Amino acid sequence: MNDINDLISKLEDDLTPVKPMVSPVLRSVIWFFSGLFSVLFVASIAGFRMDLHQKLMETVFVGELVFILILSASAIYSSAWLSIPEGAGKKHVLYVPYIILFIALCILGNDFLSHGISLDNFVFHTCIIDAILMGMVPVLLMIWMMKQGAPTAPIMGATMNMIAAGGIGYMGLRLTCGSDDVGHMCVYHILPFIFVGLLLGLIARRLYHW
Amino acid sequence: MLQVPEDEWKNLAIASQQGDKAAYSKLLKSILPFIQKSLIPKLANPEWADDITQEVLISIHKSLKTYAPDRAFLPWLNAIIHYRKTDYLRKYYARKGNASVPVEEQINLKSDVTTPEDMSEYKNIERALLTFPKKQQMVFKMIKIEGYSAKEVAEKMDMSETAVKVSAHRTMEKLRENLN
Repeated sequence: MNDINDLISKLEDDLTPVKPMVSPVLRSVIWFFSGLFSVLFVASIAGFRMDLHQKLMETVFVGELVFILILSASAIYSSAWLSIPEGAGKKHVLYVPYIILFIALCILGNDFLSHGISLDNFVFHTCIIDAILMGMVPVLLMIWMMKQGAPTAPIMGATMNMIAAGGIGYMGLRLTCGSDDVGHMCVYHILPFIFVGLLLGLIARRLYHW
Repeated sequence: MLQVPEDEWKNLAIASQQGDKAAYSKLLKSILPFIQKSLIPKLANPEWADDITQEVLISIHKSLKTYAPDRAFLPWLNAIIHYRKTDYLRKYYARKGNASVPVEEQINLKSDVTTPEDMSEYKNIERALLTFPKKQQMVFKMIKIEGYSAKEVAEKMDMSETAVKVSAHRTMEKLRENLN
C-alpha cells in the first residue's frame, strides 16, 4: 500500500496540463479527407484509367465507389473510437464496418460466380506497386492516429485500420486500373491489403501497446 | 452494485486535465478502492491486485488526455482496468509457461510451496499461522498449502469466493509482516 501511495505522490508531481483529445467524429473527418487526398494524389501521379470519364457515367461503377467509401468511412470512425480506452465497448459502432464488408464480399462473390475470372498466372503487376503507394499513407496515418490515443483492443483496432486504409486504397486503384475483372481485383487490388492487414494484426499488440 | 461518486470523479478528472495537482491526487486516492474492488474478485491470486493497481494508475496518468468531459468517466476507467488486468495476466502466464520443467527432472521451482531446503521455514510459517483465528488458518491452509481453488474453499467453508480470496490475501500479508 505504501508503494501505491508513493506512486500517487509521484504521479501528482509529474502532472502537467493536458488538452483533451478531439472527438472521434472530428478525428475521423480529418483522417478521411487526409487519406482521400493522399490516394487521389498518388492516383494523379500514377495516371487515371483511360476510360474514367465513361466509367463515371455508369451507375454500377459510381455505386461501387460510394459503397467502398462508406465502408472506409465507417471503419475510420470505428478506428477513431478504438483509439480511446472505452472505444472497444461501442459494439454498435464496431459492427457497422463488418456488416458493410460482408455485403461487399457477397457482391464480389456473386460477380466471381457469374462472370468467372480470366486470371491465368500471377505476375508482379504495377497494380501491386500502386496498391502499396496508395495504401501506405492512409495506413501510416491510421497508425499515427491510434498511437495518439490509448487503444485497449489493439487487434480489433488494427483490423479496422486495414479495412479503412484498404477501402480507400481500393477506391484509388479503381480510378487508375483499367481492368474490371473480378479475379484481377481480388489478387492485385485486395490481396495486398489483406497481406498488410495480417502483418499489422500480428504486431498490433506490440505496436499499440502503451 | 457498488455505488460510486462518478460525477465527482468526472469533475476531478476535468480539473486534473487542467493541471490541478490537488484534484488529481484526490481523484487517484478516491478511485483506488474501486480499482482494487474491481480487480480482486477476478484474480486467481489477490496478491497481483497491488501490481495491477499500480499499472492502472500509471495508465490513467499516461492516457488522461483521452478522457473527454462530454463522456462518462466510469466506462473509461473500467476499460483501462480491464486492459491492464488482461495485459498483466497474459504476461504472467507467458512467464509461467517459460518456467515449466518436466516432472521427471525433479527440479525445485521457486513457485513450489515447499522444498527440502525450506522445511525449517515451513515450520516457522506453521507456527506463525497458529496465531490466526481458526477459520482464517483453515482458509489459508486449503488455498495456499493444500492447493484448493478459491471456489472450492468457498463451497467448503460456506463463504463467498471474494471473502476467501481476501482472507487468504490478508493472512499472507500478515504472515509476511510477522515473519520479517
